[in-house]
Amino acid sequence: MTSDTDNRRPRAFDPTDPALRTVSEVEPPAAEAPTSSRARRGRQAPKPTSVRPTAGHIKRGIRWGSMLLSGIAGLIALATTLWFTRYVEIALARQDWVGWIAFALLCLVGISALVLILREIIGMFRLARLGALRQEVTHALHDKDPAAERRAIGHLKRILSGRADMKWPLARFTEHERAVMTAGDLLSLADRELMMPLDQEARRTVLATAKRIGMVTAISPMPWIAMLYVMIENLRMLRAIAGLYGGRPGPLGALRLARLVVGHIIATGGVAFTDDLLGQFLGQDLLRRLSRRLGEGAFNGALTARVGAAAVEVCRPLPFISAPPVRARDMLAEAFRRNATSTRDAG
Amino acid sequence: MLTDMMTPTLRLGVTGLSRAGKTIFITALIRSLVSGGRLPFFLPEAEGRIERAYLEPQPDDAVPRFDYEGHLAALSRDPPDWPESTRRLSQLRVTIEYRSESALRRAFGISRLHLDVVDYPGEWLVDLPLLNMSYDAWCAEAVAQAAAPRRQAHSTAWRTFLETADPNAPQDEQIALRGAQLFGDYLRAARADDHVLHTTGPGRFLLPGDLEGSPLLTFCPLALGGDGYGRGSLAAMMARRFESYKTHVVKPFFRDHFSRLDRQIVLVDVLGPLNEGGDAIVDLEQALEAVLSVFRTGSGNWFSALFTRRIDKLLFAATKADHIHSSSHDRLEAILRVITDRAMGRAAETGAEVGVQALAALRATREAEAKVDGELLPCIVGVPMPGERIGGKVFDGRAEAAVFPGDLPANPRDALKRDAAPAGLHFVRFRPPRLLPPGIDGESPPLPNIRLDRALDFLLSDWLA
Repeated sequence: MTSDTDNRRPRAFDPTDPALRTVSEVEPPAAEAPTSSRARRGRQAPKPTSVRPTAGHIKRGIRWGSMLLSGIAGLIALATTLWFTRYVEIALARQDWVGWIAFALLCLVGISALVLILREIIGMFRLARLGALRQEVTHALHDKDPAAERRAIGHLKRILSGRADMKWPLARFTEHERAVMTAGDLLSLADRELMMPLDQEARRTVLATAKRIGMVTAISPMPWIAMLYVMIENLRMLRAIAGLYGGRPGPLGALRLARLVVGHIIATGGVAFTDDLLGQFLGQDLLRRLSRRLGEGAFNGALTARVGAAAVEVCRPLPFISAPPVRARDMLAEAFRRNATSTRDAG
Repeated sequence: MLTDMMTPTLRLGVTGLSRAGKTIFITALIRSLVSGGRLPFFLPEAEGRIERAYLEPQPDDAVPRFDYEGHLAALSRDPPDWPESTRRLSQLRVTIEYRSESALRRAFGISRLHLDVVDYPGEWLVDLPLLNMSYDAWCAEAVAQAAAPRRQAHSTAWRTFLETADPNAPQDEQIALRGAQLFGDYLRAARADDHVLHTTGPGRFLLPGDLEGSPLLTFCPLALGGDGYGRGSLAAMMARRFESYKTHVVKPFFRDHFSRLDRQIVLVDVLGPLNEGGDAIVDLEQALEAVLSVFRTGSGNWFSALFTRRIDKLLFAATKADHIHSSSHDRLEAILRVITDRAMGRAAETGAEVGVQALAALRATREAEAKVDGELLPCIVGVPMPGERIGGKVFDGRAEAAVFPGDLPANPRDALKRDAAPAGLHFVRFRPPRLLPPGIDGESPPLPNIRLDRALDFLLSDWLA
């Protein structure tokens, strides 16, 4: 900022001077697409090490194992398609009502498959966008760069805009936005004004899921039913949470998210165990002595809460700056209370 | 009745030399509290725990009320104007009703806090160092100062008087009157000529308030020789009056308004002296140092011990931060840190929490950038005060202009070099922002500010917990 050239001597400009542009305390001109954040990522040589994988860690690298699997899967798919094509060809060749129905069904299959794939791709993009934003925010916080912060906030607002539930928080945020001048304050404000309401909603979602899972585990007649149910519920919860923060992935995206979440749980396992779950495990041991089923239900519910907390941390475009973090410990107590789903300010 | 007695009172000391922006700070503070301003980082407000705040009837019958409405009216005039400089002491009490963070206190209903704020002429503040000074020491300092290059021209008449007046001559009221008159003229002239000059003279010579013509003010420094003065001499009379001035004017002022503070904010206008160059900054540093050193702990005098023990949070604020671009705020803070270095060290030693901030209680400008020869200059846009000039351009006080005031030195110590030329920097004073008319609910929109919320958070929020 400081070069003591002659250019930088004090002077005044007319407001109509073409050299002058009012920047935008409100928002900088959005010249930069997400590409710029990627370029920035490339330039930043010392990447800030973070143990916890978040949505920012979705990578598209070449892995030979997956190549092999993909190849085999491709071959199988090809064989199936060939067989299927021959079958359909025969059906279509029959120029009668069977042929026409086959044709209509084929069209239906094609269109729905296309839509599904498109949705999946869009979901992936949304997730990637969240990841890029998270990266951007991390760098802005790390470099204490107000301009980068404003850009990140612009992206965040674009992601959240158009949602009815965010209208009021966004309006509140925009009101205060101009007054913020210190580096880091803008993101901290966004964390409090924009993310905190979403955190509450996420907390509610996780609680409801944990409660359902606990219940189903406790009463299900066969273990595999419970397992299946736990898996499906968890994936649904992941999608709901990602959607809440502006991700909204398809089923495949949810699987990928699940992998990240599992990675996150493993990475933070040691801390979380002593922090969140130790007391829980001890308590469940007691519960198990009373009733094995009930203990299992409590255990599954607790794990779900843990998964939910990890998912929040993975999906959240901002790290927890000024908002209180969503923690499994805080939710567990509530999950097994009678009115677990009632709205409650866990501040 | 009982609840009223149980309500704690927080005395906030707004300290600052003249033109530091005390009045506008207090006005903006009250306004933001009372009508729910834009304070995203004042946590009690942001969390929605403040139910309401209102102005209490004047609690102290002997002290005039702070003219809050008058100052607001000045700001809402067309064109808006800054409040006039303060000429007398005044105070105001704001009561804040809030919901406590602790469930126990919430169970008792809404908690309340009185906030007492005192406004006074900054000129009087320079009296505080006199408390620790004898007449002899004061004479030596004042005489030496009068000969300094920046004051020489104004003090010629008084210095001629000094040469003729013999300290050992028998006491004579007429000589004392004349001396006091000339001394006062010199102080006022020096001040009128140079707004950023921080005189050490008794503040009541500049703004006598209700003491106009009182014998308390008929004294002046004399050119004392080293060999003392006899009883009944002119010097002895002057010394006696100097002591009475301290006893009857300075001590009550200090005792009533500074010795019982809980929190203190020291407002410093760094930009004005920066305009003038290194000498003015050093002058400011010395004036501040002299004032703040009165608040030393363990020095043995009863009032300072009383004072420092209770102030547990002290905030140094560089005011008028809206007169530079926000990218320079950290440099402004750095300069303030250097200026108040010793005072901060002392306060920190006693265990007080010390903060430094650049703030603008009322933000008069917007930010912009100008591109000149491929270089981006961070500018501020506002309506400069009439008569302000920059780079050969004189403003009429109506048209808006974008101003690039220059870069603050990257090394804050460069600003304190004794004879550093003021080159490369020029700050223009701006008119207050045009306040928007009240909306349909009859409430005017909140005042724009810079970091007022952070300052409030630092000073008040733990009392509102």
